[in-house]
Amino acid sequence: MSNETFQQVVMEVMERFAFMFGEESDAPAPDANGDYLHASISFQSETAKGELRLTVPLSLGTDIAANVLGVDPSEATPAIGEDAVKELLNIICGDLTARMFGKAEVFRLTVPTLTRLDTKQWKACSEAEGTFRLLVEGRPVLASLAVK
Amino acid sequence: MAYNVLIVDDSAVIRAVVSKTLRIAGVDVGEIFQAANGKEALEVMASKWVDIVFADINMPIMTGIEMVEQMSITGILETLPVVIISTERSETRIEQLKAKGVRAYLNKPFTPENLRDVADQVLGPGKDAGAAGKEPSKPGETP
Repeated sequence: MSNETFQQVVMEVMERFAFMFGEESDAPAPDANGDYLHASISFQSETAKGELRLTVPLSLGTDIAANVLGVDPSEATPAIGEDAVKELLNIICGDLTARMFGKAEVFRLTVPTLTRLDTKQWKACSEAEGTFRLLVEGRPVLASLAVK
Repeated sequence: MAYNVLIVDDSAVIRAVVSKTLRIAGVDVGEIFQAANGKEALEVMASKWVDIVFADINMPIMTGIEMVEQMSITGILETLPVVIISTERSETRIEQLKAKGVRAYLNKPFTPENLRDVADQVLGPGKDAGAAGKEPSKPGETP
């Protein structure tokens, strides 16, 4: 599967779940200050396994939560933002595995995990092989897929 | 008459979205109970009257599939409809769940219309709800 399809799934789910639009971008992180949310999920079937990762600025995580819940961003706490980012990745994973392997294949997905990254760690993530970068609402989003 | 709903998902965001969407969709909702995994959900079912369960698959401690299997063993699945709301899109998985007794399956993300259609399909449009809030949804009891 092409990286282009992966990007398309990420952007489509971002639109349908969070009502946000993304565009591909090679621009550097616009804001070097602040925390980033780094979520990961693994999937496995009888024939394939892999891992998806998604990294977003904390502020975008809370905005995603606010959009999903239909509340003012000031009402969305960082904890709710973390929850929303994990669920976003969960949906991306379900969509992507169906497109990659077809709807007959049954996958076991792990519960998404999440860690906080600082700017230095974000930079390392952005330079990792297989990572692509999007701009969502003007903020950088990193996504990567590893399939075995 | 209003339906008592149990929403089972480890994501608080999704539980809130399902709760809000049910009301937006015009489903006649009574009490809404929430659980973060299948084990918590079974405890709610044992102590509260529930008319319909909306459950995720992929949860820690006890998955939605394990919860459905447990409900089947105790017999409660015969009288308490379960709708799975999940990110998984495998048609094989959906058929397996329906064979286990799950009434309907809905993909995330969903629209209010999707949720309304599923509620109508499972509960019947305009059908009177059970005796909301009266008795726990114990095995063998008919709501």
